[in-house]
Amino acid sequence: MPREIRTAVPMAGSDFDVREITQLLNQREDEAAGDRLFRLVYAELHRQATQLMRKQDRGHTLQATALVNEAYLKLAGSDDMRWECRSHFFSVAARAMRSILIDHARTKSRQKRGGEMVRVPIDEISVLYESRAVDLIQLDDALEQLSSRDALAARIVELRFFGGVTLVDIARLQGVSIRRIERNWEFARSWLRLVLR
Amino acid sequence: MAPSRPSVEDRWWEEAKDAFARARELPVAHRPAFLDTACRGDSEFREFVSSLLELSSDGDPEFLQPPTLSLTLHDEALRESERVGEPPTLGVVGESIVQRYVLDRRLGAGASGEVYLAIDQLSQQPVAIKLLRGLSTAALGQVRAEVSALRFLHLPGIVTMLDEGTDQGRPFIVMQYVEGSPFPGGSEKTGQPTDGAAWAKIQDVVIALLETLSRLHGAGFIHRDLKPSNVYVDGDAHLTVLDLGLAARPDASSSLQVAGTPAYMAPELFSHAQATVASDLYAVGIMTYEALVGSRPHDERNLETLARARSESTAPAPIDQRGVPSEVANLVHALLQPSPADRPRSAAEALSLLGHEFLEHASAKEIVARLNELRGDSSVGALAPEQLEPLFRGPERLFRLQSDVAKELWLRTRGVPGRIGAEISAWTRAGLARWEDRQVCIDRGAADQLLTGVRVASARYERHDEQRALEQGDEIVLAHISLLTPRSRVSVLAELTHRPRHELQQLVQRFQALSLVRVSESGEIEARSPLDVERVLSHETMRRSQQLMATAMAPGDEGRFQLLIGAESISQLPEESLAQARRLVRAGRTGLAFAYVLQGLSAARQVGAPELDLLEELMLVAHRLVTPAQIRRALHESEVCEDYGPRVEQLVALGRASLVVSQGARQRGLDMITAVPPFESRRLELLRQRVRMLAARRVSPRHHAEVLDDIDSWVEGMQWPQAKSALAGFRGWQSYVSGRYEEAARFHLESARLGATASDRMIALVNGASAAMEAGDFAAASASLSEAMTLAEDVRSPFTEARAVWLERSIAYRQDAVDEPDLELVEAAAHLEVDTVEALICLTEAAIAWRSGRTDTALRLARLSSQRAGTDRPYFVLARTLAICCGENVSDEEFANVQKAARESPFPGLAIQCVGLLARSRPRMADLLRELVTGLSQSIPRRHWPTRREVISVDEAIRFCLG
Repeated sequence: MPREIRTAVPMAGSDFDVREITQLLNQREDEAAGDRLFRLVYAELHRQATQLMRKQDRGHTLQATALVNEAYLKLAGSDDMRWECRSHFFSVAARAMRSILIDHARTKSRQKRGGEMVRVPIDEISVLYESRAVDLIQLDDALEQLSSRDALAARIVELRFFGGVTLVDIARLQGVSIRRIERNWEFARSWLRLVLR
Repeated sequence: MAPSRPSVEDRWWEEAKDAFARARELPVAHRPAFLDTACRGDSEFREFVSSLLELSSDGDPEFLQPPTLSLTLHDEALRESERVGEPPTLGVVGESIVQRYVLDRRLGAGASGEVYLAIDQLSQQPVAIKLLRGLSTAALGQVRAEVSALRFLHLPGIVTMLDEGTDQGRPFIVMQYVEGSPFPGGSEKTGQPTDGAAWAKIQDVVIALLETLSRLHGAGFIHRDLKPSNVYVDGDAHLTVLDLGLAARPDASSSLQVAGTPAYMAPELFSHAQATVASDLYAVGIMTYEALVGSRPHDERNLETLARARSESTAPAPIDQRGVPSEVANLVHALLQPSPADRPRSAAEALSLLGHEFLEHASAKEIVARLNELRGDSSVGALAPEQLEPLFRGPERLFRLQSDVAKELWLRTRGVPGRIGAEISAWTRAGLARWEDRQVCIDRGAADQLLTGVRVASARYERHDEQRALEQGDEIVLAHISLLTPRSRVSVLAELTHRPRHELQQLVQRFQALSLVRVSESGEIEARSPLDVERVLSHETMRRSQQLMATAMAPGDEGRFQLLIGAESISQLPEESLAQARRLVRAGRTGLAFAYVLQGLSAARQVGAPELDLLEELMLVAHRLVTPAQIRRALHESEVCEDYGPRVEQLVALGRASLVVSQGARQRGLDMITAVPPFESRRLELLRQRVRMLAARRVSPRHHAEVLDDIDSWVEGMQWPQAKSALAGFRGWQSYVSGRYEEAARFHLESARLGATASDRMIALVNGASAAMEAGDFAAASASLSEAMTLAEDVRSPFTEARAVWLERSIAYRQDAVDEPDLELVEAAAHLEVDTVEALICLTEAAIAWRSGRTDTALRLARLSSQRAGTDRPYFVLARTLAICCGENVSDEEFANVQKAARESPFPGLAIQCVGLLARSRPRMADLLRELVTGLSQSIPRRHWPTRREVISVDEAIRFCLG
C-alpha cells in the first residue's frame, strides 16, 4: 500500500457497503482497489470510534480491540468469509486504525503549537493507546524503522497493538507458528522500548 | 523528533533475536552464562542483547498491549439488548435433533446460542442440549475449544459431555442435565447484612467447589470463567461446574484476549496476563465474599477503576468484622490478594487454610502408615515389588494396574518406605493419582505416563553408609552409573570421567562387592539404589553425559527418551517419541506408546516444532487402544493444535466420526465417516477404511458388503501385510455376522498370521477364538485363546484382554465348567468404558449366577447388562428376559414388548433363548411360544442345539417351552 494513503482524509458520511468491501478484498493485487478499501475501512473505524464514545453513558461494554472486530463482523455478516480475505481485512484494518491514531496525534501536536483546541471523540481512545505506547508519533517512526529491518516483526506489532488481533490469530493470519510469532513479538517489544526510551 | 537509532548492525538482527528468545526461556540467573557463550566475546553485541532482555523483564507489562476501553460495566443482558432486533430462535420445542434428542423446553439463551432441556430418545433420560449459532470462524473456534475441553473431562463435579455434532447447520453439544440452583449470592443483589450463620450455609459448597477445582487443575485445565451462574448446587451441596467454554489447557494458549466476566476477574487478567490456577482461585474469593457479604468487593462501575481497585487492595471492607470465622476471613483475604503470587498455590492449599485436607491427596506419612499396616509390622526395611501391589486400587484384572504400577514404584524407590511415601504423595499432588479409602487410585493412562519416566518428585535421597564412605572421585563414577542406569558401561564411564578403563573396571567390581551396582552379562551396569546425583555432578556434566549416551544410542532404543530429557534436548523429543512409539506399538505396549507421543507433542509445542506427525500418530495409536478415552484425548490435542489446517481438520473429522460410530450411532456415523476424504498416508487411510467398515456394519448387510468390496479393491495390488491382515479380519467379521463361523475363524487366523504387531495378532486370535466357539470347536477356540493370553503378558490392551477373558468364561459356561460368577471381572469391565463388552461380560456372568442359583446376583448383573447394551443392541432383550426370569418386576406392557422383540429379533439364536426364558417365568404362555421355537430353531444346525448358548441352549429352550 502506498505510503501517502495513510494520511488520506476519511470520506465524510461514507456507508459501509458490505458487498463493495467483499469485492475489494477479492481484488488484492489491484492498487486502486486497495486504496478504496483502506478508505472505507478507515471511515468505518472512525465512525465507530465516534459512536462508541457517545454510547458511553448508556452502559455499553466493549473492548478497544472490538473496534476492528466489530467492523469485521459487520463486514463478514453471517457468511463465512474466505480465509485470505479475512487475513487481508485485518491487515488493512490494523493499518487503518494506526492511521487514525497517528493522524489524530499529528493534528493535536499542530494544535498545541498554536491551533485552537477542539475536543473530538477520538481523543479518549487516543489517550488509552498512548498510555500503552508512550508517544504515538515516535512509535510510528520507530515502527517504520523496524519495518525496514524486519517486516514480519513490524507487522506483528501493528496487528497486535492497532488491530487488537491476538497472537494466536496473528499466527494463523501470517501462516507461521505461534512460537515464532511470540518470539518476534517479544523481541520487537523490547527493541521498541529501547528505541522509545 | 526521531528516536536515536541504537548502534546495532543489521547483520546482528536475526542472531540477536535468536539469543534473546533462547535466553528468555532460561531462569534469570542462568542468562549471563548463556550470553557469554552465545555472544562469543563480542561485548557490544552482548550489551545489546542483555539490555533488551532487561527491558523485557523489567518493563511495563502493558507496553503495546491493545488497551481496554474505559466503559461502564454491565451484564450480558444489556449487551444482548444492544443487538439490533431479536434474532430468530435456533430451536423449536418438540423438534428432534439428529433424530435423537427431542427439545422439551428452553432453559436459556446467550450470545453463543440457546440451551434446551431435551429427552434422549435412546436412553429416555433428560439432557441439556446447547444449540450454537453458526457464526464466524472465531466463534466456531471458541466452540471447538469448549467441545474438546468437555469431551476430555470426566471428573466428578464437572459437567459431562454426552454427544456433539451438527444438525441442519447448527452445531450442538449435548450435556448431562444438571438440576439445582446457581452458586449462592450471585443472583440476588439485596446486600443483606451477614450474620455468623452465612458461612454455615455455604461452607459445604465452597469446600466442594475447591475440591472440584483441584481436580480440574490437576487434569491440566484452567476454567477461566468461574462465576455463580456457572456453578450449580443441588440440595445436598453436590456441585457441578458448567460452561467450560473458556477452559483451556494452560500450554495451549499463550495469549488470549481479555476473556471472562469482569465482575469475577482477577486483576492480572485485566492487563492480558495469562489465566492461571491463581486467577481461578481469585474468582472463588469473589464468589465467597459475595455469598457472605451480599455484595462484591471493589467499585465496579468502570472497568478501569475496577482493575485498579483489584490490583491495589484485597477488599475495601474486611470480611472478619461480619461474624465470620477467622479462618474463613483469612481464606477470602488470601484468595483476593492482588498479586497472583501471594494467593494460595493450589485449590488444595486453599482448602488447608480452612483446616480441611483435600482427601484425594495423601501425605507421605499416611502412606508409610498404610504400608506398615499392609505388611503387619513397622520394620524399616525395603519392600519387594509384590508387597506394594495392595497399595493400589487397580483393577488388576484386564488392566494389570497393580502389578505394573507397583513395579514402577519399586524401580523409582527400591522399596524404601520413606521414598515410597514421598513419591506417591507427589503423584497425588500432580493429579496422576487419588488417595481414596486408604488406597491409591490410578488409571491406566496415568500409569503409562509414569512408565515413560515422568518425574514428579524431586527426590532428595539419603545416602547409604556405603555410599557415604566413597571418595569423591569414586562417587562421581557411581553418580554417572546412577544417571545412565541401566545402560552405563565401562567404556562410556571412561569417556565421561577421563579415568583409565582398568581402574574403572576394578572400581565397578568394588561397587559390586558393596552391592551398590549390578552388572549384566552383556556388561551393562545398573545402580542398585538411587543416588542424589544432583549433589555430586554439576548440572552441565549431567546434561553432557546424558547427551553423549543418547547420541551413542539409536532412535527408539529403550531409555533414550529419558536421556534426551536429561540432556535438555527438547527439540529432539518429538522425533524420539515417534521412534519410541513405533517400537512400543510393535511390542504391543500401545498405552505406553500413546503416553510417549503425548510427551513428544508437549515438547513440540514447547519449541514450536510441527505437530502434524505427532497428532497423526496419536490418532493412530488411540485407535489401537479402542477405548474412547484415548480417542477423545487425541481429538482434543488435534483441536487445540496451533497450526490448525486442512490436514488437522481431516484428522479431527476422522476422530469425531470414529467416536460417534463407537457410540452406536448408525446412519449418522456412516454419514460422518463418508464425508472424510481419503488420506494420503496409508496407515491413516487404513484407519479411515476400518471406521467406515464398522459404521457400515451397523447400518445394513448391504452397506457392509459394499464398503468391504471397496476396501478390497484398495488393498489389492498393495504389498502391505498390515492392510492384508486388516482385510482378512474385516472379511472374518462379515462371515461371522452372516453365521458362517468356520469361515470366519479361518479368516481371522489368516489375519493373525499376517499381523505386524503383537496387539494385531492378539486381536485376530481373539476374533478367531470367538468364531471357533460359535462353530462349536471349543478346542480350537481354547488354543487360539491361550496363544492370545500368552501375548497378553506383554501386550497391554485391556479391551482385547477383556474380550479374551469373556470368551474363556463363555467357553467354560458352554461346557458347564464354571459355577461362580466372576464379580471382580465385572468390576474391571466397568473401567473399560466400552458398553458392548461390558454388556456381554455382565450377561455371561449373570447367566453363570442364574444357573448356580444365585438369583439376586443374576438379577443385578442382568439389569446392568441391559443398561449397558442399550435398547438397540441385540443382547438387550436377552438380558431383559433373563432379568424377568430372575424375578424382575415388569409391567404387562413391558412384558408384551419384550415378547414381541424376542419374536421379531433378526438373530434366531438369541430369539430362541428369549422365548425359552419367557416360557420358564410365565408357564401359561408356553403354548403360545412352542410353535415359535420349532420354527426358529430350524436356522440353527441340529448339532449345535445342546451347546450353543449365551444363557440357555436350544435344547433347553425347547424343554422349557414344553414345560
